[in-house]
Amino acid sequence: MAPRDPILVVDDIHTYYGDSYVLQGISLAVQPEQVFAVLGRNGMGKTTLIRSILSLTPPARGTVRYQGRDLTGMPAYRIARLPIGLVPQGRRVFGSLTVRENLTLPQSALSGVTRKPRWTLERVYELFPGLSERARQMAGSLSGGEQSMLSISRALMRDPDLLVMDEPTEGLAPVIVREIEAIIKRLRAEGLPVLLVEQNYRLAMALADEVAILAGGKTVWTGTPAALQADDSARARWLGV
Amino acid sequence: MTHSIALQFLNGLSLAALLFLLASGFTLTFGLARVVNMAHGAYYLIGGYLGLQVVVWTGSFSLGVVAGGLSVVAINFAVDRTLITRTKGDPLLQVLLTIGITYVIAETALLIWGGDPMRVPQPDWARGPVVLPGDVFYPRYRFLLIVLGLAVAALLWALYRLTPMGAIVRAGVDDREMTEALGVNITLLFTLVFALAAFLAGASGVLGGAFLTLYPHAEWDILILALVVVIIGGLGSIEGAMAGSLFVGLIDSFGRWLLPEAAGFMLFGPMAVLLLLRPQGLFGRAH
Repeated sequence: MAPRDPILVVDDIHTYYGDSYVLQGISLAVQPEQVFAVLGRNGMGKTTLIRSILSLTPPARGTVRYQGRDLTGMPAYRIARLPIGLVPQGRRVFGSLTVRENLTLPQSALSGVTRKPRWTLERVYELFPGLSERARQMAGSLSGGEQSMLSISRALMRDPDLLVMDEPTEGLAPVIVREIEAIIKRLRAEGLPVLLVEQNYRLAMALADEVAILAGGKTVWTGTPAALQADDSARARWLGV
Repeated sequence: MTHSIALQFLNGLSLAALLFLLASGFTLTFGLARVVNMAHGAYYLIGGYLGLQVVVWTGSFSLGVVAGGLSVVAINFAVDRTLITRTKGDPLLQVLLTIGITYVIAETALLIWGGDPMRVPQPDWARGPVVLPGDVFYPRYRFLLIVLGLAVAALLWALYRLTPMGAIVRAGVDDREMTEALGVNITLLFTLVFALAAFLAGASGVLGGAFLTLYPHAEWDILILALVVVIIGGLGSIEGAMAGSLFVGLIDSFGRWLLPEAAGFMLFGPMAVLLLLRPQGLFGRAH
């Protein structure tokens, strides 16, 4: 297969969170149709990386390019309209909206949809039948597992060309983790690139085409899951596994 | 006796209708943008005076209401873009700033319209009494105000609860950043909600000025009542603004009638008790 341009390129970004210097030069490139996993212990800047890419906490230096386009200075809502879907840490569903309202919000009149979305309510309900039964229920009343399904579905309703997921399995029961794993596999099979930040080593290794490890706000290791599996010292040093 | 009770009840309802118009915008502005805009009392006053002027010039009460509302939309836009934006979300600065703005607006109004109470002329079609079941005679204007208040409340509630636009506003109240991260231009949404809130404040000044009159200090009298409405109902909640308005309107009306010397206590006493039991207000969410 001929090499193609990466869909997302993060080039040496430096980000401050208040006074603390969180990202100290991160670079990575996500290829089309690839699951790119970012691993690292807590507090190593994984969530800040996501926030920097999406301009929620804009980097002080460095650039983020999406499909060749420089995202510097672009407001978060414009980045979402590229379109990039976000499954944020902690799920962050809108608790006082119904399930259905959560899902239709990314395609509302104020959401800047410019093409006919490939993802519709029907398709999302087909992927997560549990949500269609709860369509009229307030999202705040859903279980943690259901909320994470809703958070993923809501990001899909943005009709993304890139899906960014920040610890989608955090705090969930193993059976739900496996369900989410299957969903990500299916999305990848459909050609949707995924940038996945995970604490769950097994999950990341099972899904990823490429892995980066963050430590101390820097990318300390990049390679394939097989290479990471073979690199005992890197695993022990950066991940403790 | 039953007649008097009915009259007090209707007086309470008509005050509640007015307070709802003012407080619903205030509560939405706060809930969505976390902006505490104490200038709402001044918006009421200046909207009332400007509307009064338009009624005097054109003879049309409805035109006056619309003009009062629109002029405050313009004033609020200027105030927001030039001043409130500089507070960068600091609530203490916002309170101090908007209280200062209140003084500036009220003083300007005093210079232009003087210190005597002025009444916005009621339209011919709203003069005289209506006869309600049980032979209760009630001023037609205040009766129509109750109807208008109910209609606006129903409309706002439906907009807020049933439409996609309302869902976006509720999402913005829930989690502003996440709403933006899904592609919603939240700044545009804020501008729309601010404009609606300002319109309601200005229009309520004209509507209120036609039975409560406009006078120096009216901005504080109405602001305090609106604040009690919002605090009782819970900041950021339309349903809360409805419940709070009814509560304040009825308490104020019956309080003045039954215990005139304790009218202030009748209003603030229950509010204090409620805040002890439920600091977030009746419909507010704990933070």
